[in-house]
Amino acid sequence: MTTTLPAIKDLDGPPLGQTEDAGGLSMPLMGTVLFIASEIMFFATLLGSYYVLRSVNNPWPPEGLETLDLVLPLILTMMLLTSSITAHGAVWGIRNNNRTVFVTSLALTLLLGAMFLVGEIFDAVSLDFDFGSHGAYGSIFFTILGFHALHVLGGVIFFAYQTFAGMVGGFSPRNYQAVECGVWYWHFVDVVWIFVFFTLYVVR
Amino acid sequence: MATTEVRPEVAVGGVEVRQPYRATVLDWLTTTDHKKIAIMYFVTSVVFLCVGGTFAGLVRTQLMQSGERFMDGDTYNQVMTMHALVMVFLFLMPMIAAIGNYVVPLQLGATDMAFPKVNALSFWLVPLGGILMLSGFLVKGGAASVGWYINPPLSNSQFAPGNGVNVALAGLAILGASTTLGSINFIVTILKLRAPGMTMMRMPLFCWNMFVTSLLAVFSLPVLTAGFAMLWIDRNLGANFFNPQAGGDPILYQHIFWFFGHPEVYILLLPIMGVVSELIPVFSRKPAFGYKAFVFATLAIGALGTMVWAHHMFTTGAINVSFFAATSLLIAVPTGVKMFSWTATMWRGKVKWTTAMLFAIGFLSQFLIGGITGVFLGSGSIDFSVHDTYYVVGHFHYVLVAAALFGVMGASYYWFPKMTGRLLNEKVGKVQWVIMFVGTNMTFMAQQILGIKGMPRRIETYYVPAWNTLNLVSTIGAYLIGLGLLMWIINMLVARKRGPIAGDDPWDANTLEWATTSPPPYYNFDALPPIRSERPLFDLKHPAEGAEDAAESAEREHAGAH
Repeated sequence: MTTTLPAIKDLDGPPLGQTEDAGGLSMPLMGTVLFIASEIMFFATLLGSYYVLRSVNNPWPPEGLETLDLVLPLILTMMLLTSSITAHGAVWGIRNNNRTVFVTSLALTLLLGAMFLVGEIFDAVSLDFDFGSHGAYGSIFFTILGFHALHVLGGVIFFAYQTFAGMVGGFSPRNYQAVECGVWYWHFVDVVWIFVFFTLYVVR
Repeated sequence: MATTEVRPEVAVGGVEVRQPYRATVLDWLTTTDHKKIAIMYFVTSVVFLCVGGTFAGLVRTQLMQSGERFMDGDTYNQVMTMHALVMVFLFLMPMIAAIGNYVVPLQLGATDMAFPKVNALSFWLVPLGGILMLSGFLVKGGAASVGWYINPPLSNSQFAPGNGVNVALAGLAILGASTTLGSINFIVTILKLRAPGMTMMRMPLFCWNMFVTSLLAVFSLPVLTAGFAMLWIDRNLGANFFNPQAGGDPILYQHIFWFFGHPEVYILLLPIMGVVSELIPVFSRKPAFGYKAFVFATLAIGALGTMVWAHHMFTTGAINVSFFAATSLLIAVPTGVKMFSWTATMWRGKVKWTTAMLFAIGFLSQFLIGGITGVFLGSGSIDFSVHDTYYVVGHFHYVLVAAALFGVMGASYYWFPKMTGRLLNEKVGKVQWVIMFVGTNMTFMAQQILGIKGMPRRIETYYVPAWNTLNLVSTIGAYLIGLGLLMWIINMLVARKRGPIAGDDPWDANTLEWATTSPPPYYNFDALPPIRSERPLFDLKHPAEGAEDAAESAEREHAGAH
């Protein structure tokens, strides 16, 4: 059954270790983008569900919850948006071999993220409804808020590890892709927050 | 001659190199080699096939004749639900990951997947999720007994209070994460790791199908995860997403489930179509007919597959039947292109009747039946009368067992020599094929007729003597499928140690995985042949014809330029 092939070594085949596609996104970034794409579908489902439930319920938001305090959520939004800028500073820092800027920006990002989480928990506790009360409103409100908070928490833990690694000499101008991936993910968490904020607090 | 030296443990009469048992175990537990991960996926998948197959046997035994009460109703519901979940999420999905993991990097001329560690993680999540899901049988109230859609309100805390549904949801979420990570890995591998010369339009059709499948999985699985999360929160934290009494919407769950559920059908089927597109050209001794059309048909099926989900919900009355009927029927067009491509490839080819080819042809004929019954179901008016009957059961089993399982069989007979270095027994394979061909058609044709006669699905038993004969036929057919699968497993176990040595290229094939030893070394290739078409190995074996083709196409391009 065996067919003998001509000796492949003697032919001018392509060199090993190279690929057809060498340009464009690096593999880790492409993986991150695809991961973000799947996360977008996840949040799209939750936000879509919000609008479906909104359309089948009248009144929405339910009676007694006509107004929500916007001050704290707005401050939180500003904090999270600022953290996107500091996250970018971290990439700039390591790319230019400026470890001080790198570690400081990353620590600042981490701090803003942590403060966002604390503020959000404070805000959530102060609301006078929960998962089960007020029909589906409380359910979808806290589910979206909670899943977003979990994603922020994931980013904070990731940055905490990277800040530590950066402080003890990890990463270099030629090796900072993990930081970049984390920062892209962090941008996604921010952008989703804008949709979450508008859906939960503005459009309602 | 191969490029890589024949490895000693494969050589007959050669010195066998053996490492200590402990080292072997550790090696498999910690490996990030795509080939070893693929084999672990394969073994896991076959183990779960045995579990799911046993459940199927139990279900068919219960339904053999009217009034049979071999299991009580609740046990029956648990077994029926877990049969479906195991077969879809623990047999077919890991099996596709197994074939893809083994074949894609080799066909692309790559050394490994893009993210080998993530690959290992995706694999280890499968047994974890599977054991979690099946642990439902040990908890109070038994396993999930609510059907594989896990539709609320049936699956809410009021009507399914046990922990079975909770562990099933948790297990499915883990399996979803595994598939999402695996799919990201496949997409990046295919986009970034093709060997020089392997352009997208020279990629083997199997890789194209894995690519589109992976895109669909990344697109649709997170939706399901979100839905399951909402259901879990409903059940355990007292939320009201799907509770109509408190402003929830059960139809929303159905939308979410089927938004995943229909692309899932293509996630399962496209790789199998890819397998068949590898087998038929090789065993017909012809290039695949209409390579480009096939690629575009694959893309079209992927795109259309995302906008037909509500055809599973025609009878809810809450959707636009005509729109979803139209998109569903439209899918028949690219699928028809594929059928045409396969048959035209065989047309006037020199067909070699190997077992793998027989399974590919079995796939064609039975997928045709499954596909055509699907067209009937897709046209809303017929669906209204056969919805939730055995007609539907027969239809999707034709697609997922008679077609997809046959594709898996074909893939195993084709690539087993590459994985182990030894050929499976062809005679046993052909007997197995006959048994399974008869078995599947008996089982599922009988079910389709029963459906038209009005037998509803998901019933623990029935009291209509008129359905007895056909149910008996269906049950005997199911046992035959089981027998065929048993022969397959024994064939593999025997051939693994004693099968005839395959050599590098036992099928005189076209794609790169046959340009290295069987099994390949961990780094896959010592050298690659030049890649100038989608059949680099054919060009290698027939340099003159290849040159002629190249000259011809150059001439064509030249003519086109004027």
